[in-house]
Amino acid sequence: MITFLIRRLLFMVVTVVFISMISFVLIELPPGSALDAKLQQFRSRGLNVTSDVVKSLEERYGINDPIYTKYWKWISRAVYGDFGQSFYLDQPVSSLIGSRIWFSIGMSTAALLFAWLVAIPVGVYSATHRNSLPDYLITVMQFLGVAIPEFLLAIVLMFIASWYFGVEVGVLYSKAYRDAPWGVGKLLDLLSHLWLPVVVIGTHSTAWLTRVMRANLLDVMGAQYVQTARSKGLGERVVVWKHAVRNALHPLVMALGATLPALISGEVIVSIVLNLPTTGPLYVQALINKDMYLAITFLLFLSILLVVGNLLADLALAWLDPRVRLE
Amino acid sequence: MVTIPRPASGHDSTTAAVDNVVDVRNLHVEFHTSLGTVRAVNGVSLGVPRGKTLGVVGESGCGKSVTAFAIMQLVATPGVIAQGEIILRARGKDPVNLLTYGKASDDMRAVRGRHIGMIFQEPMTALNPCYTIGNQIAEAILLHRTSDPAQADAMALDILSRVGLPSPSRLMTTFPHQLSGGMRQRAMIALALSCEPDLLLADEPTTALDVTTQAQILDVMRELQQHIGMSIMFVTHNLGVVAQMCDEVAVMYLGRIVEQASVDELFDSPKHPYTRALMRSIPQLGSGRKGRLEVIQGSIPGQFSKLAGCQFHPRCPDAIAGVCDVKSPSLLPIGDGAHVSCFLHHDPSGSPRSPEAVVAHAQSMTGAGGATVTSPN
Ligand SMILES: Nc1ncnc2c1ncn2[C@@H]1O[C@H](COP(=O)(O)OP(=O)(O)OP(=O)(O)O)[C@@H](O)[C@H]1O
Ligand code: SF4
Ligand SMILES: [Mg+2]
Repeated sequence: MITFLIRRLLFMVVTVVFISMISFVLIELPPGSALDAKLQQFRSRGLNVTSDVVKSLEERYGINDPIYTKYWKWISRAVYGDFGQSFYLDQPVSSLIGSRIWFSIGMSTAALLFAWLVAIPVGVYSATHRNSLPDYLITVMQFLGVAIPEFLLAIVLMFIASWYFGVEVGVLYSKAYRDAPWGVGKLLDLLSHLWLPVVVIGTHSTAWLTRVMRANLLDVMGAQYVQTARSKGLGERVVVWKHAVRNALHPLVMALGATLPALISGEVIVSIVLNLPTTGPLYVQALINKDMYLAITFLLFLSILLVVGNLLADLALAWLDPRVRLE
Repeated sequence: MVTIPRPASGHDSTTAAVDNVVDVRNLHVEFHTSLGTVRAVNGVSLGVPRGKTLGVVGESGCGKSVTAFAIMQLVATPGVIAQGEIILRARGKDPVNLLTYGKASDDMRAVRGRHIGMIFQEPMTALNPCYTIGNQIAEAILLHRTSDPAQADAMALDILSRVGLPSPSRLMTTFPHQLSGGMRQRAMIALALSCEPDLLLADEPTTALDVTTQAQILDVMRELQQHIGMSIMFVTHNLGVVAQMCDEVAVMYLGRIVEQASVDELFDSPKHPYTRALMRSIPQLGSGRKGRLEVIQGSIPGQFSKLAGCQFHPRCPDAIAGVCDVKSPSLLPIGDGAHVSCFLHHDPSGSPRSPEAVVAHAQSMTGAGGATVTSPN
């Protein structure tokens, strides 16, 4: 188990380095640079930018360096927490991201928990009451959940929340708490604003996971060892939850790797629609403005998040299934 | 007529049917599918003598497994037990018709595992991959015998050491995937027998194993049967295994028992034409190259088709025109402890008679130009 962990951790580092290289190249590929956008900005303000100025700026930012030099300069500082400067916003990338990344991680995690907490019991109910009216209703909901685009759901829920419940949307705190120091009140206030984006982000995954859970459980319920469990005299609840569900969770945990990216991209869309101060909108801005160090740092963090998520999924799988644990 | 080597058995067919652990009477199990109703078990009656082994044989799909599951009231959906009686006479208990218990009732659950245990054909999939062998056995013991986990573990260890597994204490913490097929089947037997049931339902428990392992498993089952004093209903395709293991045999055809007799009786003088055909279809020792295997002519009718008269009559070489295709025979005693469902052995009113008499009767009927049999029931 220890060697397994060490091997996995090494593998993770290699993966992240590899991803950072590839994304670096990809973001560098399109013609033009952030400097062009910056110069455009200056010119539109009526400033006269001479070619000498352009040259000195290019040198200063290393615009014409070969790509591997750029990458090396960036990554060697990134290890120490210096992710470079945002051209466009004139701020260090670390301070721009630092304040937002925790919201993103928190919201994706909350959405994941929401999806699992809803999908598992609903999927189990649906499978054990196959072809009943509730099962049909759940199936319809599932299709709706998968089919409705996130931005639309965000808008509809936003409308309902503000129109019928008077909830302030598009912010994380009420006015009263916006500048207040941290405390229980502020936390509760945050949570009361957070559920909406979390539900929106999690809906897709919930619907999909419910579907997977139902199908898996139906499969497992036909297995011989479920009949064995019944033949011992166990009650149906123990048969389902102890003997069947645990085996049916297997593919769900393996799907964790696929759920996380979906949640993160969902988070980007929903945050833009709801105008939340998470990393999502900033990332899109960075891409539009070719603000390369900002964009690349986002990608780096996203990939770290994914790799860590996958490790957690593997650990969960090992805990769940002795066949994985004991190789 | 068949010379399969089998141990010299001292069982006495006349005392067999007196005290049965389980009596199944007129059991009907139906599967209501979108294509129609499949009558998988269509009036099965059989009895498992106490302390003895009843073999259940018959072609694939004739309803052997469904019958076994029905005794446990564990028929898989969409199957339902439509009719019948299953009388359990557990030690120290009054006889009870299990079908008066709801299939999810506490009463029924107290029977499963406690009075009736079950083992299956596929040892590879019969144990839950997520839990240790010890956990799975102790779970049954905790349900029926003790509420003390330590004591349950001790009992589990005890039964594990009886099924011939090496280092049983290590097995307690072993997962199923770490065991071979034969070892898993032993573990499964330990699980099924952990509460010392009155009856073990064994659904082709050795079919998936190699011959050597099969023999060992059969030995273990026999030994534990002695030790616990239980009865076994042994479903199998293998008539050799029947000869070795069983005291009585019930032959099934299309959801019905066509003959139940002591194993000697059945092998020496099979009564029902289907049983006779079955006997001719197995290889005989020393029959040489000349001996040819016979294949039972015809094939099984479709699942949904309904047949008037005896279910075997389209394939039966001895079918009596005007009787067998009109009226359906019932499983009736024919004197020497055996039960047969065939008009060759009893006339349509139910009284036993000799085959010669039947043939003569049939000839007289065809000679008279028609059947005089009353309408089918
Ligand atoms: N889930 C089900 N749905 C519909 N029909 C079923 C179902 N299970 C069993 N049957 C029907 O019941 C009949 C008897 O099945 P069963 O499994 O008892 O046969 P068997 O005698 O055990 O055969 P085998 O020797 O192959 O194990 C089958 O022919 C099948 O048509
Ligand atoms: S009842 Fe008639 S058809 Fe059926 S087995 Fe006997 S002889 Fe054959
Ligand atoms: Mg079967």
